[in-house]
Amino acid sequence: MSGQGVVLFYVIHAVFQLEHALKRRGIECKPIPTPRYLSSDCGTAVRFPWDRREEVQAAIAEEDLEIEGVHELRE
Amino acid sequence: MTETTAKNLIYLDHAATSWPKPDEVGQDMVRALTDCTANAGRSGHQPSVASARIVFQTRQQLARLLGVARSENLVFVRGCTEGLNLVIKGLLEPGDVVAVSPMEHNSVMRPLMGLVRRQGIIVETLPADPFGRIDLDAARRLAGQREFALLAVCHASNVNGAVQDVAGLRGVFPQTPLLVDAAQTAGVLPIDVERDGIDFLACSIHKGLLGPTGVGACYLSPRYDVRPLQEGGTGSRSESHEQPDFRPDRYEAGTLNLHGIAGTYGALRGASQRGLLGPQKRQLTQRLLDGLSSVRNVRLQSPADGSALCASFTISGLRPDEIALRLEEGYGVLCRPGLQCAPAAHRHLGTFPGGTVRLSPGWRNTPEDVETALRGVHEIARSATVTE
Repeated sequence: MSGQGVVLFYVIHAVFQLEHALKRRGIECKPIPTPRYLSSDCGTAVRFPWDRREEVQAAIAEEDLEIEGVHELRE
Repeated sequence: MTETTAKNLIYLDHAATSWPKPDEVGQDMVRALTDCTANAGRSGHQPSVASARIVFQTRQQLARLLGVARSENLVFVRGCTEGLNLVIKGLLEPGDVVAVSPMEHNSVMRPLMGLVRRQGIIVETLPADPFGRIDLDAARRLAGQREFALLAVCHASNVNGAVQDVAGLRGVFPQTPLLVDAAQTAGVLPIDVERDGIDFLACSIHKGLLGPTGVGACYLSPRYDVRPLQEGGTGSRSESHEQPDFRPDRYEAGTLNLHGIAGTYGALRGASQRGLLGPQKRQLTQRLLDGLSSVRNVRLQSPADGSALCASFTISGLRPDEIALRLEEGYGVLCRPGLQCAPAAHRHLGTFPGGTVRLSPGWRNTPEDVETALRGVHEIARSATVTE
C-alpha cells in the first residue's frame, strides 16, 4: 500500500470543508482527482497520511461532514 | 464611458446597480480569467480544484456576512431575480395563499402572478403605512384569520427605500415560511438569517455588495425541500440521471459563473474593510429628502425619518422622465425615473402610472454630489413654475 489514505465525497463543497478542518489540526492533505476504481462520484477527493486516519475520522465527525468513504490508496 | 465623462458624472442610481466598482472586484475577476479557467469541481486536477476553491471561499465569506450557519445552504444563482423565482416556484403548491408587502418588485410579483394563472394560488397584500411599511398590528389580526404558505417581503423598497421590520414580521408570523428579497440591503443593512428567523433570502451581488452583475445568492433553509429551478450536471453523482439531493449541488446545475463569483470574492474582501453601507446611504438620502422638501410643488415618496435608503419624489406639473433628463443634461446627475419595475409599489404610493424620480446614493457619493442634485431639482422646478 502507499501509506496514503483518501476521503471520498458526494459534493466538492465538503472537500474544502474537510481540507480547512485538517489544516487547522496540522494534518497535511491535498485535494486530488478521485481514483476511479474507488468511486464515480464527486471528482475530487482529499488525500492524507494513512497513519493519521483516526484524526481524520474525528474531524469528519466533528464537522458533521457527509462523506462517501475513507480508503487506503493503492500504490 | 471615457475617463473625462465619468469624472463629470454624479451617479445617484445605486439602487439599480453600484458604480464604480471597488478595485478588488476587477483584480479578482482578471486573476480568475487569466490564472484559473478550469471548470470548478469537475475534473479533480489542480486548476479545477483552484476554481472550486474560489467558489467555496466566496460562499463561506458570503455566508458569514448573511449569518448563514452552514454555507452549503447558500447557493449561487444568476441574480436576485433567479433566487426569488427558485423559492416561489420551488415551494408553492396549487391553491396556496401567499402574503406580500405592497412594495414588491416585479421579480416577486411576476412569478407569483404566473402561479396565480397556472396553479390558482392566491396573493394577499398586507396592510401598510403610506410608505409601504407593513402595519404589524393590522397584520397580526390577519395572521390569526388565515394560514399562509409563504410570506414574501422586500427588505427595502427599490422605489422609495422604505425598510421593512423583518424581525417584527417574524414575530407576527412565527410559523409561516419567510422569503426576504434583500436586493437592496445585502451589504447595506445587518442581515442574520438565523437570528432573524429568515427561511429564504435572495440577494444580488452587484448592488450594495458592489460586485459584478450576473451573480446572486439564495439562502434556503434546510427545513424546506425546495424544488430546483433547473437540473443538470453538477460534477457529482455522475452515474445517475437524478438530480442530487444534497446541497449546494442540488441547486447549482451547470457550470457556475466562476468569474462573477471571483469578482464577488473581491467585493467581499473590500467589504470587510468598508463595513455596511447603510449609515452612509441613510445620511446622504436624508440630506436629499430634507433639501427636496423645500422645493416648490414637490411631494416626497420616501419616509423622511432617517430610515430610507433612497429618495423618491414627484413634482406636480413635471414628468419624472423630464426631470431625470434635465438633471443629466444640465447637472450630470444620473438617476432613475418611472416605475422602477415595481408597479405594485407605485399603486400603493399613488404614483402609478407616471412613477417617481429616484435618487439613490452609494458608497462613492459625497455631500457635494447631493448638493448639486438638490440645486438641479430646485432650478428645474423653478423653471417649470415660471413657464406655467
